[in-house]
Amino acid sequence: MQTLETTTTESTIQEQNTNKYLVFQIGGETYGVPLLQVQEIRTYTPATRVPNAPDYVLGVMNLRGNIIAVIDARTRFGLPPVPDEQETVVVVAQVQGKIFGLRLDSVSDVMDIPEDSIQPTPPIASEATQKFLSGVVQSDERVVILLNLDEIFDIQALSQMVA
Amino acid sequence: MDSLFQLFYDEANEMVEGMEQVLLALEGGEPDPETVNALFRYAHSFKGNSAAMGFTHLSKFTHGLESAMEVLRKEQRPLTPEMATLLLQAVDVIRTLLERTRTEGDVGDPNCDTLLAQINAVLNGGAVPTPATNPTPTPQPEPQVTVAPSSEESVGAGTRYRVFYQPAPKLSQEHDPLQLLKELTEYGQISECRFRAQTPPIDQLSVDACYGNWEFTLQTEFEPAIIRAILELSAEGAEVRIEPLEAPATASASPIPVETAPTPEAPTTSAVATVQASSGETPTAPTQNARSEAQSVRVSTEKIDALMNLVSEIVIAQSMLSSVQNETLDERTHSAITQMERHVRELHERVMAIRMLPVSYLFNRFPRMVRDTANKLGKRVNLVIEGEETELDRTLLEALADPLTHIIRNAIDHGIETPEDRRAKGKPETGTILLSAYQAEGRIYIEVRDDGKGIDTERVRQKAIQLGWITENDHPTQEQLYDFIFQPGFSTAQQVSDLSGRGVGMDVVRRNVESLGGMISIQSEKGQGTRLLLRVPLTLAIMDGLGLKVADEHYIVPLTTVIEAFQAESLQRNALFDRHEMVNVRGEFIPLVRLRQFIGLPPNDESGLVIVLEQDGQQIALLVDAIVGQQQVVLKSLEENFVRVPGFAGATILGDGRVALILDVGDIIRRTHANNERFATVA
Repeated sequence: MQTLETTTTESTIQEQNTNKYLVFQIGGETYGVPLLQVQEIRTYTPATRVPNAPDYVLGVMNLRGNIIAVIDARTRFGLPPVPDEQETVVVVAQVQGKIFGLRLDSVSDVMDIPEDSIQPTPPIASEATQKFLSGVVQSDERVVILLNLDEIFDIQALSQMVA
Repeated sequence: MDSLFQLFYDEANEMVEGMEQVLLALEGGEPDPETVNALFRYAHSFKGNSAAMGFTHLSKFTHGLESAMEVLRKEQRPLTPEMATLLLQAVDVIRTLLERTRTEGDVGDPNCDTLLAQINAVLNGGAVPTPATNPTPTPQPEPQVTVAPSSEESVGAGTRYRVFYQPAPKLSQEHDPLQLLKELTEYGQISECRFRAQTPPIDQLSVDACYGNWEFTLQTEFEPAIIRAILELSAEGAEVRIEPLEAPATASASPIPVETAPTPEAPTTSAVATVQASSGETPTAPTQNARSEAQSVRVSTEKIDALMNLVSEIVIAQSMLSSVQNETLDERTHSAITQMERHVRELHERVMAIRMLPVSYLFNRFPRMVRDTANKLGKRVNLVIEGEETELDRTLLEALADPLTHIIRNAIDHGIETPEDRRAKGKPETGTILLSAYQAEGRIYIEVRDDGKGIDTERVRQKAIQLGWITENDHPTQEQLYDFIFQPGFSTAQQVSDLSGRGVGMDVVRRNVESLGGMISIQSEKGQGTRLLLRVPLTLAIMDGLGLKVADEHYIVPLTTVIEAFQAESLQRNALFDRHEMVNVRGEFIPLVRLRQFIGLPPNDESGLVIVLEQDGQQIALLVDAIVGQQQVVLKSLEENFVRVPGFAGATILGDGRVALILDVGDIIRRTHANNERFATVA
């Protein structure tokens, strides 16, 4: 993790318009989130269920003495859940000063994505899922869908739902 | 550099508080020489410290203050209310100056000079024997007689003084005589200035020394003390003599002028209006403080908090270790773990003890507040403080400040009657508010009791009817009526005063206290007074909990709320309208809450345990699958990175590293009642 962050800082200095993205697969598609928002990647250990929370909140877990919520990416996007595997990970990220975990099937890569190669999301998804997306990138043979973490862990909406 | 400033501000704030306390203690009482001395010492050290930091305005002002207090000290005069108010205002000015120094740098405050002038006027005027206390003139009233008219005169054209100024031998940046003299011209007109050089032989010349003195005539509207303050600024060893030129009786032979420095040339035979130059005092003045402080070390609260967090982590790690203990371990490891457990517990207790502060830290702010509030409302209130040495966790102390302030304001505003009303009722005109703290049953109790008019339950009832909470036909119990007071939107004050009617009601007070894991209760006797009792845990961070199990989920309930537990089968259960279950505990019906239902799990068979929990004098019975056991838990916030979860006070980390949620018993009780009431209104 330490090394990842170091290279990120260096590259932003050298090439102003290229950002690093953490890339992973859900189902058959490839998704990416800005690496700058990612704090660390952990293996998934079962979270403690929070009563009356929405289904995509798996629960809360202990991150070195802090209690953080874990969001299941699949449930959040309306995909059927899959059981825990060895590769199942939690990506710990920060939005609006709050830390949360995003449970993913696996992570695959870190990618440099030039800012000008990001295209607006085509209106393929429903409006409900559209808000999670911040753009699309065509890279070599594959398409990477960029995700908006602020919408995935929407603290305002959550605080109303739980209360 | 930063830490030096921080140290200065920390000390300065302590001194400001100290001054305020001493002033309030002095007021009305006998002028205990020791307390007056303390006051003087505060002003003195303040002056020294701020001068050392280069805060000229602060040091100038505190110097003037010091001079005034010196008079008080020398003459052992009682502190008149007028004087006390002025000095308290001076403390406020210091606070303002401190704050401005912090934010804007070394800036002054327009109030400084006027306030100093007022203080000096009162000091000088106050010494004149008044007919009431002393009809025959004392043999030595001359100095004051000469001063008083001149200070009145000075309002117009200003008074002329002959000023002798010998700068301190060692010059520095803060102490540049020419700069000071230039500054002096802003305060008055300098004329007939004469410089007398005293140059030593050239081989003894020093670059940073001053060889010479000034003598000049100054026409100013300001008090001599202020002029002196400017000239003596930050310079120990400067010599200043100020003599009024137009004073009739003043001659060089009799050194009675307004202010005289204790120089060999001018022996201070008349101590009455003499202000001692700071130079003589410096090394010895704050000795008493220094002695008691030498025993302690100043540590920033951040460091202690960090230490506390670390201890919390160790407690968690320790419980992880203890949980593997049962498995195959050799004897040495086993005993090492047991030993460590003991040490960790002690470490925890010791670190906790560092965080504990006497409740006086919190209580000390109230005498001033009571005084000001009572004055504003035209009431007379005597605040009695008891148990101020009781120790409490620092974070709790801070969190209690607002609720207590509100409660005490309420007591003065709504509780204590006006002196006339009190006289009419045959009560002493001065009302009493008792603020006390004590420790019992592992908790801290804080009590606010007043001997005011008490709570008019009929008015509370009327108000509740007006608000539509009850109907004309309802006659709630006294307890329920008191509970209304804590409901949002309730206020019986006939007129909203600018003191207590500011939208922050008792509901906020209760919520604040409960968020600390505490409770608040109220007792009142109409015409006799009101008593509010706050009960808070000793500490926030670590508490004793009882582990519960439902299905395969683990929950914690604070041990302080647990009364008793029963086998579910052993209790008789009734269900009102098939919905509101009650259990019969020794003839008493207690609402039953099924934890499974509360956390959204399907019900199991009827077996399990019923735990009776109590908070705020209300009980519920909680049906759980099993009790895991008692354990120490570290309270962690759910809100910090997530959201507030209804029914839960927070979370903790178990021995195996997993998270367990901690039940908020007060919230569960309230929710249960809310449900029942909703149902009652439908029915």
